[in-house]
Amino acid sequence: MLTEPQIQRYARQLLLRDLGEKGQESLGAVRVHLALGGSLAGAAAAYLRAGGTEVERGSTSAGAWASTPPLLGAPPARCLDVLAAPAAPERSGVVVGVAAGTHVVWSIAEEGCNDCLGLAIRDLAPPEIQGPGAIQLGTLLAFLVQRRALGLASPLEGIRMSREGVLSTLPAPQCVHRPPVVPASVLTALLRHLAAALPDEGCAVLVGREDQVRLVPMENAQGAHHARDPQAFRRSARTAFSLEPRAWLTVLRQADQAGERVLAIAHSHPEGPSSFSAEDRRWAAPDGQPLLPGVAHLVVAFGGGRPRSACWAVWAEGDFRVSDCPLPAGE
Amino acid sequence: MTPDARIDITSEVCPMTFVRTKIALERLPVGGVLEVRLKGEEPLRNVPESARDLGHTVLGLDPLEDGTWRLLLRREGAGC
Repeated sequence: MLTEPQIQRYARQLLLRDLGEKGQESLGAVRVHLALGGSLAGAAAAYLRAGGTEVERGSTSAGAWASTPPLLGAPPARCLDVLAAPAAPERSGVVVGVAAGTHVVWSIAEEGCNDCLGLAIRDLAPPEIQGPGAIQLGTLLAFLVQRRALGLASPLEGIRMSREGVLSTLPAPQCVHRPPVVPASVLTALLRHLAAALPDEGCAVLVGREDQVRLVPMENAQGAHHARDPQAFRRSARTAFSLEPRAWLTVLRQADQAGERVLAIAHSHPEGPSSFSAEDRRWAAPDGQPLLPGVAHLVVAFGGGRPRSACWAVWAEGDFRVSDCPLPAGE
Repeated sequence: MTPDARIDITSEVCPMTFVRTKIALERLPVGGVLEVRLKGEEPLRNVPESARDLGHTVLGLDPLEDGTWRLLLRREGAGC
């Protein structure tokens, strides 16, 4: 609960719909490290302190921007870094830079994707830290830090400010560095489809958008390939899979028409192992580069006819990153 | 109706009249009822209106014999 002196000092902003008592406590629960200088840092620090957020000194000399320290209930627990591009916060924070004469600010949450942030800021140069533009930019920094502290910002949020001070939201890059979030119902349907293919490997495609994933069950064409040409297709469907080319083309066409994209290709290992195998790697990146950029791979290991475990493989920074995929309970 | 909390803002002036009311509403669970004692033209006009703007419900506004008013508000939605 806020104390009476806090209520008196922050009365005006407590009236805001998105703030209130809990919001004010959230503003006080972060400590901001400003790795910037000049009036850019001065303006940002002044607005943040006035709003009730602690700003670490040392990084910024108060100068003309001296302001009274915030009234805090308890020492802030979380730290937010504010940096000038091309530096990027390791966890949660804000990056400011300039591109083609306009200022750009990106803010990332602890759960945000740092690879996406890296892409978003790769063409940014450090901003000017003095002058009217820098002061204007400092206020925008304070605003984005406050949105982050209040939990109002999306995991990765970008704002552009024109020379005239007009703000516009920047689209976050579509994240391909992390496995897609697959609803339990879709995962369950996938496991059933893969189980139905046993003792052969089964395969399927996950198509959709960030918030909406659907399963496209596929037939494993490896058996037919192997029967027709065992020299070129040495493995049978027991130990390999391939997507039937016409069915695959249909999946791509339908996804295009629906404004969706292929999020992942799934296949099973009928008798384990639960890993993204050397063979899987060769299939997914034959010459050291991913055959399907931005598409994740999901491997489900079966044992004794039941799904045992699953793992994701996602291409990022020159290699596949493998992570566990929890299976729905009861499968 | 018995309120879950009561505040008296008869000695406050704008904007503290609604600041007190807003914080008291935020401290109630959703559905909780707050009784606000208020006085004067400004809070009488602004406090019920501001509460409604934030999505809360005005349950009643009645004059009392001592010249003050009794405003009953129900706290709505988590985001208010």
